[in-house]
Amino acid sequence: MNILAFDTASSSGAVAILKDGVIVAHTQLNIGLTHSEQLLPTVDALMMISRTDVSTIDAIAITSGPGSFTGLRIGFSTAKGMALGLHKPLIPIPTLDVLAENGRGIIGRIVPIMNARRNQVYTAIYDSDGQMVTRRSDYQAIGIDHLLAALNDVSTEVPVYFTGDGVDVFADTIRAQLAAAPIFAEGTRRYVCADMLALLAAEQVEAWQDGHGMRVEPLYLRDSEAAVKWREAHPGECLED
Amino acid sequence: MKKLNSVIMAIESSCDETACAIIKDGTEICANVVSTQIKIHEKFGGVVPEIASRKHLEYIDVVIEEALDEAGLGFADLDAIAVTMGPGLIGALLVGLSTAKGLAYSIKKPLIGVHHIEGHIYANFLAHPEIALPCICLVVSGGHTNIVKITEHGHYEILGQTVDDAAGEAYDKVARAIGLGYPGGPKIDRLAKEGNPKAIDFPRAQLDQPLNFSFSGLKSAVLNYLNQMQMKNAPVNDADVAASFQEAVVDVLVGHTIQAMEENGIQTLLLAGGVSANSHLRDRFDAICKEKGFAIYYPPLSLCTDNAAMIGAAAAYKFDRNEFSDYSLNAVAQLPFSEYVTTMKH
Repeated sequence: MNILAFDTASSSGAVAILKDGVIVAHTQLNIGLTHSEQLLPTVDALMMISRTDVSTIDAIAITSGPGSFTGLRIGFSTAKGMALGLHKPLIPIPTLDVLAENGRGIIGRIVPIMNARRNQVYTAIYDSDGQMVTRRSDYQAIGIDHLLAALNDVSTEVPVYFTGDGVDVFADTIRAQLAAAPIFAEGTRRYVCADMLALLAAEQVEAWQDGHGMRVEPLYLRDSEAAVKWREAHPGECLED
Repeated sequence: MKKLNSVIMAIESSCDETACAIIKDGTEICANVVSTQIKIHEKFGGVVPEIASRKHLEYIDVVIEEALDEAGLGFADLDAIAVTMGPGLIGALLVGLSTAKGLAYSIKKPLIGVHHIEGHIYANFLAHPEIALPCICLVVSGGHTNIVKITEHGHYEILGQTVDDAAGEAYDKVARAIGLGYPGGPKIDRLAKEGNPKAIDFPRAQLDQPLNFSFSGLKSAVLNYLNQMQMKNAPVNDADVAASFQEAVVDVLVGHTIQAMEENGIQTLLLAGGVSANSHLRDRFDAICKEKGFAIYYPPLSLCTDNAAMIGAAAAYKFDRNEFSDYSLNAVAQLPFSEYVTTMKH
């Protein structure tokens, strides 16, 4: 079972190749290039280095959001093109689930926070017992203050592990407002790791064999501003009619 | 007539239509699938980029599979994947571009990035493969007004271009001013048939570079005329305004294009782009070309609006010249044809 996994949901970009249970190549780029310019050359380079022929790929895994709208669409459409060309399943996995894997092994709470701009984060709350990581909340776009208040309400006893590019922006706010002890992910573990994405995808590859991954929409979490305004002006009407 | 030998899948998603076509040998349309989003954008009175991008992602794989079905072909039968790289809405372009890149990579076929306007030009060669070069092509659309000299396939020389608004842009702005909706071109064309083209003397701009165009002065003149009439409480005959405005636009387009042909000793003319669907423009060019003994070609109306077939046709000639794009190909929102032509000359 070979899986090509990539993430384009935020400003970092990541690619990994899983071959028969082994991560044979993975990379994470933070070089400020657009995903459109960087993704396929990175995939091509890793495939060459790992001596993997694209025709031997059994599934394409991507982060399905939340994240940058344009970034998500670059990931989805590249994956759609590949999945079509290879006749292989597309496996979309929520970005926050992949980020939460960065804290696997921790005993406590894992909180991935992605910079969602407008002083908000894309986030969800996970519990980790040292073995399993289990999501305990919805995926949401909320203010950082709102998130920290919710965390303070639940418990101040267990350590809270923060990962995601939201840490770059909100570490000081968290230190000041969180009652519990925060742990901040460092290095590559602060951003989406495509090896984690590939490993998660490998666990659920059977469930995606029917091809329904092609019909999954990105987890945008936010509607377009135009659609929000239209709905306010047209209560009870459906935009999609 | 160039003999081409290729089967090319082309993808176009620059605005509000998700399209995929399969073109054989640059001339045969094996499939031409267009999924339009016009119904949802109508509710906003114009194209909403974020909604367009979301819809493109939803339908991109659907139009590809439909195109293969329609053509009765599989990916193994294709020689290359072509895609519009710009200009257009960036988020919309990126969906088609990324899909094309992923597809080309996975089936190990070359990728060919095509300028939207090059596609419009090649809609002519798709419909009329017998066109002999050299020729002059007048490209008129909502974003472009260019007189292009084509000496051989892929070699373009811009002889004239607009210094401000594109012709189609002027149509849209004037249409809005006289209360016609979007898109303005076809609506003004229809209304103008009922008006007198000599009723109002709108200006025809002449610039230092005689083949260049300027339409912003004409647009302002129409707006000023409407304001003056309103201040005088005088009635406005919209049909006369439409006809007189259209006459001014077409006079300049015809005048400059014919001048370019005569100066360059070229006897074949192509019309391309959305505005080339304008009936008055076609009639005037037909008449003068007949008088001068020039050959004139324009695409069927179905290929004047955005479609992927024209992208596939342009790509067939690029395939023949081994002009391929690499995997770092990016979408470009603002990509003047003049700039694209310059960057192509390596």
